[in-house]
Amino acid sequence: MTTRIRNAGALAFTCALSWTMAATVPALAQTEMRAPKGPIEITVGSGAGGSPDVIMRTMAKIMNDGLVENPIVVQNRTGGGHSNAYNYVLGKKGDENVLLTLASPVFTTPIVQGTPSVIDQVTPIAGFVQSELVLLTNPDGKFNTLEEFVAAAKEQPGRVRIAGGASGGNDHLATALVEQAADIKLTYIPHESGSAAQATFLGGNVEGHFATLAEGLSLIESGKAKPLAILSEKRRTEPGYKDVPTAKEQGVDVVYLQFWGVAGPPGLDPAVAAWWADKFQKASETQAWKDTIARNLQLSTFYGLDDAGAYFKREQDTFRRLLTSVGLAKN
Amino acid sequence: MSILELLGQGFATVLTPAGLGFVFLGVLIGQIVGALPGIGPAAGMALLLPLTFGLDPAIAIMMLAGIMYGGQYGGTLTSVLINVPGEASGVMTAVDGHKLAREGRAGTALSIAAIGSFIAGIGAVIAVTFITPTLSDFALRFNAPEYFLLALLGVTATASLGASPVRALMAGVLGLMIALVGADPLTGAPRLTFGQPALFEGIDFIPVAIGIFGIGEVLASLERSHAMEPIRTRFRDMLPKMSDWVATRAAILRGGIIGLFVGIMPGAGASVASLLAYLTERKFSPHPERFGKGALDGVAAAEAANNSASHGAMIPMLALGIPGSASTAVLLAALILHGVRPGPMLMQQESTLVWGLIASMFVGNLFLLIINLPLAPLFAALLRVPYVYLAPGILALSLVGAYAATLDLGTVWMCIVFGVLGWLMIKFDIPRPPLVLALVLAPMLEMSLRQSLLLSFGSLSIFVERPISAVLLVVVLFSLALPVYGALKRSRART
Amino acid sequence: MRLLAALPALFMIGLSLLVGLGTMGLRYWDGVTPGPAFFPVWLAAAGAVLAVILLVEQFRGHSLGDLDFPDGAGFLRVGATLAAMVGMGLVTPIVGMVPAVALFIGFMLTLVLRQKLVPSLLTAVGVAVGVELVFVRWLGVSLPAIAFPF
Repeated sequence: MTTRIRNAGALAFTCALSWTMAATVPALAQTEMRAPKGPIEITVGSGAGGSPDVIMRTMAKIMNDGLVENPIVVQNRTGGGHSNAYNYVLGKKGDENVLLTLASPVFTTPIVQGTPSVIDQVTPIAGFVQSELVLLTNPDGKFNTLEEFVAAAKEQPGRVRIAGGASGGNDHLATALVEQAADIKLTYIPHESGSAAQATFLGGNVEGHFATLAEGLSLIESGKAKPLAILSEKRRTEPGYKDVPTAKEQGVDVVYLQFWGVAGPPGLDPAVAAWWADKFQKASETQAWKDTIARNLQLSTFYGLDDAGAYFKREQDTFRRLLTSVGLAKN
Repeated sequence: MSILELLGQGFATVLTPAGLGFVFLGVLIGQIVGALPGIGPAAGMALLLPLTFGLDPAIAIMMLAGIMYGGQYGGTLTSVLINVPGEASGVMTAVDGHKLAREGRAGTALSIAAIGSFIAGIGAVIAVTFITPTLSDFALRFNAPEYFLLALLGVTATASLGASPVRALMAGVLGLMIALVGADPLTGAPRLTFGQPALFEGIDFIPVAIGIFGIGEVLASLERSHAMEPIRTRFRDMLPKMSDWVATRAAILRGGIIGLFVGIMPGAGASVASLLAYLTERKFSPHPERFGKGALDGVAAAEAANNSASHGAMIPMLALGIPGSASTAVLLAALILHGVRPGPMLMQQESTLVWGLIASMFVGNLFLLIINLPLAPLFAALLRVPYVYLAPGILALSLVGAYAATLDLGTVWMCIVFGVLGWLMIKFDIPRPPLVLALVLAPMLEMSLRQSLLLSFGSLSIFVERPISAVLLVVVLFSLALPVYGALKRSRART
Repeated sequence: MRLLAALPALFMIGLSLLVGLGTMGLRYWDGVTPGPAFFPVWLAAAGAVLAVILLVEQFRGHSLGDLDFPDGAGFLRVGATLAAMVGMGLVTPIVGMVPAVALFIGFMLTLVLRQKLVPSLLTAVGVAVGVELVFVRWLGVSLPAIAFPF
């Protein structure tokens, strides 16, 4: 099971490589492009301040700094596990003035609710930012490595606790992956938000907590947390993380990437979709975007128009498999 | 560097033309946005966030924070004048504040609310200045078991929010039942959604509050012609008298302290703070029978508590990077967008920004007091507009506000449905505040009980082993036992 | 009148049944913690008990509550107001929200509340313009716009 996941990751990686090579050959990028007219609304299903919101607001700011003339507004259509946002965009067939932010709930909510897949209906444009997770433990706790953590959970199944965000969210799925890969049983304690889970962790109530690298770094630097493992393919190179081994190095074969992307409504003119894919690519090559990625310790593998669809479908399959394994999937 | 030197540096950032100008702009926007039903400070900050992109990060954060606490002052207006709390934290203000407005004392209520908010706000900022690290450590000792007992205290206390405890509790249970709708927060299993995807995320607080309070109220007033008279306000009733201040200063102090402590807990918030402050105040008040019928000290305590809670929420945000409220979550996002990484290192790495922000809160609260005191009578004079003209406007604004909160027409329908429920509750003499408060407390109650037992692997001893939890448990048991004991004593005295 | 006074309690009993039956398929206990059906079961029980207490009190003649129902004209006004709100919700996707606000206020003032025509229309237009300025122009909220382009 875990090998399939790793393969998916590896496949994504090769795809990204081949795309980059394709992009360097100008003749291949000859899709017809057409700019939409009028103001653009980027619909975000999270509230202001959520990761997808921050990412899209940063993107919008960069694009309106000379790349795109159409004024871009980020609108938060919160509620329903992003379903208010995606249902709004699904209802705007062919509309050139609205885009949907893709975040994991856009994939997981339909699976959990048993409604038709969203990604199969919208027009995928690009996937452009990913984030790795780090498993943290208490600084004065008894674990120093993932191996010790796993051994403790093996000895006393269910006695090692992880505080995380909503049930079915990224950290829940990452927990499930670790459980499967190491063949252990953990106690996952869901919270109303990621920051509530962080408070539970910082209060010393649990043994483990997944954080994004940026969140994790300041906790580690201030001595409030100790890193056990990064759930990625290879180690990071930044000073704060270069000594933190991957889960794979410690015998737990898990790679998990959170990712965000953008799609147009169903039936969007391919020329407009191509134009947007081009703009998102240009935006993610700007220094401002690279600085943001570096500051937030994220990855910026770019999946353009040609691969975005296949990439998102693969991720959807992964989500479905994981949600089935934790007993949440309905279809 | 000592704290006072750092604070001095902060004031140097604020006391510039740009600093003062943007702080003033922020609090003014907050005042207006807070007064719109549906759009609270958090939504207002999010909507206006892009406007700050060109600014220096420190100035931008000061302005956004101004919107945050300015919203608390602005929310008082709608609660008192038209009985529509824009946010959960305004419910307790509406209970007595609107009754006072009906008596023609809207100006007094608004002025006392502004003074109370100001004093509690400044007190909370002083706490932020000097004891943020201590308080943030204290806040972390609050977790699931403590939150459960706190929520239990709040829910059982709703029994006292009406003439008849049975009716009040029934309204509370109704609120808890409404909160059941949607995906179970712990396992994600759909509950009472009847196959409707729209109900999956549950029923939002905003349409319920707008419907039950605002629309229900207007429907009840529209049904007869004698209610159509404008509410009489005499000018000399518009300004607070010295006696009003004397009667409420203790309430402001107690409310402010309660608000600060509840506000710093990442899992509670301004609404729990104002409820607890209100209930505490009724215990201390020389005239508890006035509560629910227009008690000025009730308004003062609730307002002091919600403002100091909204400032207190800054403490876990600055010290740990954990937002204590929806508004501080937007503030964190703004930091990230301006290239500042929040977290436990924020105060060391960005000391200019952090101390500028703290200094700006002193200045901003002063601005808000200066804006609100002279304008309170003016706002109160709005009630001189004939009610027939006011009523359709309130209804329309409520529906637009509900839409703006989620950008979904479903919210508007929800609002109308709960408007009818609110009207029926008035007609059948079922008190409305317990319903709305129970709705706010329900997720905290259920989630934290289940989290507690997950943390303790199923052992109930977690509630007595943790010191703070044990104390709260005793408080809860007392608050449950006292009315029963009182009733027994009364019935024995009768026989 | 007694039957009318008993309505809230009867409604609560019905609701408790609905909550109890609606969560039948869910687990009451889930490993070491209460499951999704735990709170619903207790709430349904609490609701039913409270309703029965209220019924008993009312049967004994206490706690009838302060029932206060309007006359026929009042009922008509409330009904018309509700209809106007529903109407506003229905026309919003077609004509846009700002014009819907103007229509709603115009309808309420002239037909339901029987005010003079000119001030009513001025109020309607004034509030709609205010909504447009504050919500759309200033805050940038995308309220539903008119559905058919000119």
